[in-house]
Amino acid sequence: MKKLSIVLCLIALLAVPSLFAQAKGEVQDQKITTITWWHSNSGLLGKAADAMVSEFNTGIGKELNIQVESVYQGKSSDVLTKTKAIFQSGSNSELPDLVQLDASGVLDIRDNQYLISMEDLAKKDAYDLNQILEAAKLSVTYKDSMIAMPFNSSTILLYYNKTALEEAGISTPPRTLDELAETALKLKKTDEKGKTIRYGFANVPTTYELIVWLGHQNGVTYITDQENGHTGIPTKVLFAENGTMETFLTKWKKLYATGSLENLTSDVNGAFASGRVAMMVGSTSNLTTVHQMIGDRFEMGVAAFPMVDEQANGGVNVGGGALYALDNGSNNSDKAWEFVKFATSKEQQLAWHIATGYFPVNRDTYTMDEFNTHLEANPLYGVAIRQLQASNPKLQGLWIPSAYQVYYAFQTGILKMLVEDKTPKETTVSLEKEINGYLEDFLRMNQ
Amino acid sequence: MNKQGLIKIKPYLLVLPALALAFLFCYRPFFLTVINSLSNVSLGGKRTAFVGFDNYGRLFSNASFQDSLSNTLRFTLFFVPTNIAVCLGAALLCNRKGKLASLNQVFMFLPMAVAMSSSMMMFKMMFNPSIGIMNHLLNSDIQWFSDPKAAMFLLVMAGVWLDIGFDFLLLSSALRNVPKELLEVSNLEGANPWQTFTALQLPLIGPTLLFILVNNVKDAMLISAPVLILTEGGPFRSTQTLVYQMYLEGFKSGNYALGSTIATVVFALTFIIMLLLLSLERKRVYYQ
Repeated sequence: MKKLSIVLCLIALLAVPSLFAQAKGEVQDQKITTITWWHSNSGLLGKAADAMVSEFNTGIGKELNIQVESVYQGKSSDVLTKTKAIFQSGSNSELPDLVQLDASGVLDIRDNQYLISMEDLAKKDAYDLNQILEAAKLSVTYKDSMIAMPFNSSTILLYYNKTALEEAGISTPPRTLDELAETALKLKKTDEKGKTIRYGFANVPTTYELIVWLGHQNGVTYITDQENGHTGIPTKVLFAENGTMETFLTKWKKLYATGSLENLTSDVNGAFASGRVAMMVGSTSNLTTVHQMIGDRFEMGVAAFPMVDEQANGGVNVGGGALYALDNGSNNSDKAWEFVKFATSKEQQLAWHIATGYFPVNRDTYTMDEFNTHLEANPLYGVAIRQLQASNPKLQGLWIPSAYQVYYAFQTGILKMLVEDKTPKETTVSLEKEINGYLEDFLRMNQ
Repeated sequence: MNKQGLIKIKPYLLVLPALALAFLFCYRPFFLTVINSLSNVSLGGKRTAFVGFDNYGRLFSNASFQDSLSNTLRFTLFFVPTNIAVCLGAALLCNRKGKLASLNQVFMFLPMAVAMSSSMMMFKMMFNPSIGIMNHLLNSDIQWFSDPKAAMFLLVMAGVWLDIGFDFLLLSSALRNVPKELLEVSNLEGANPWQTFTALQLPLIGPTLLFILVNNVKDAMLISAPVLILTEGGPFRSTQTLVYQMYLEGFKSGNYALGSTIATVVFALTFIIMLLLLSLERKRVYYQ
């Protein structure tokens, strides 16, 4: 009995301090406001983000008594998972003041009660939103309001091994998928045993590529109704009835039939940089990284994203991510806005552009002398910018429920068509059925 | 309260904290999961309607689920025998005297000292097709993360590596518990190592082996974390396992009802396999 009461006393003693531990950490210097920013920038991007934060903290942040604490939370999808976990737990005081998310997170966050619309913050500060690029602004516009601030904006590009193209006697990079197939075949290299040592092109299309390859056909088309989910929750896919998927898959199958396409799903950058793959498509945000990976192995070129056919004139959409302001009960949104303003100012967007390859979202950056000097010295960066300027701003990313399943549905469906020799028609029908199933499920659960 | 009553209550009092924890973190979530699997659950996590076995019907016709089911069963089929063969082989080889033998034991045990996530990150680096050391050493260009077969092979290997420390430890202590006299007798009678193993050691380590078998099957059926870090279910869903799909549905997409349905199915499947294995115990395993 004595033993038992001693044990109980001990437990009580051990348990009490844990109560205090919870209250601790909230005592802070009253004067300085700390803004937390969750982001997903690693490697070169991480360095650029850190540089931006420290410039803010030592400069304008110091004057305004605001310190930004940037927290790397893993890949973009991890940042989203963590943010969503807090939304569900209901303990919004754990939320960061700012979070950087890509398009796959919009659907989960756009109707959330803790989201503070960026447009409201801008209005409060009498900030002129016209200085932000139209297409970038539309990429985060929901129900006529800009819910976030475009920050790391990118488009998709064709990367090619210029040295290999020249060796094969090709002077201009392919413009359409037909030309891509021809060029890829010429670039393919086999050794004496018939083993492929260099593929012409490597890709397995997923949501990221299909937004453009389906979307830029005949002006602008959308993968789902509700303008790719930008005006409401999508209820069905459109790619079967408007024929865009079949048109694309027919071209894609032709490309595969040349034997020069490798169905590579990961480490495409590595394969390209090592010279094992001669062409790939990727985000403009990879420009600096891929350039560094290649070193002086060969000369790299970039070109506009290949069109499905000559009628595919919609251009490309703005991808990448944006900054979302969240309400964690600390009433710091005005201070968070100061950092957002700083991060998207013309000077910071220039530095960010040079360090990473993301294009500046601030219009004023484009008229800066430093910007144009940089562009002249690095003409590759200009390709992405010209491509975007020539695009239809109505072409927008996909905001869809079950985004991961949809991503893998595309990937798996297209691979099946190639290796099991299914027709584009069959593949379109089965993709339509599978994805519509996800959309139905979502509506059924959330009616 | 008299002393008699206190003595009667005491065991229950002592068991209460454990029971409360088990209720809070095991039983309650389990029942909620089963209830969720029979309902419509909104993005905010609220149950909106009772739908019976509707979710199960939809799940079984879901192409992604069919892939996960076949992948999980395939993984179990590859992983369990490989793991037991490797661990048992290692334990037998290390089961001898000498300074180097204990060094070997330490090496075999080391994987346990590395956290799962960090070791999987290292695997990912080592098997990177263009800059990884494995392709360099093997002088090959295997696309470990783009070729479905290679990815599954890699996952099995990673699973074995993760389990080897613990299983090796158990098997090697079980082998040491085989009485020396019996081994000496069999040696005197002229039994060769294979006969000694099958007739003497194997039956005597039977209980440990069964435990490892049951544990491995459970690990294999529930594998998710290595998938999450190493292959992310890819390429083409070829390594998407049931629990990984549950994670995708429940945590990434907010389809709680579907996630709960998968969880219930995994539980039922694993439970049935366990029961079958334990019935094996009654027939085949002898305790000393």
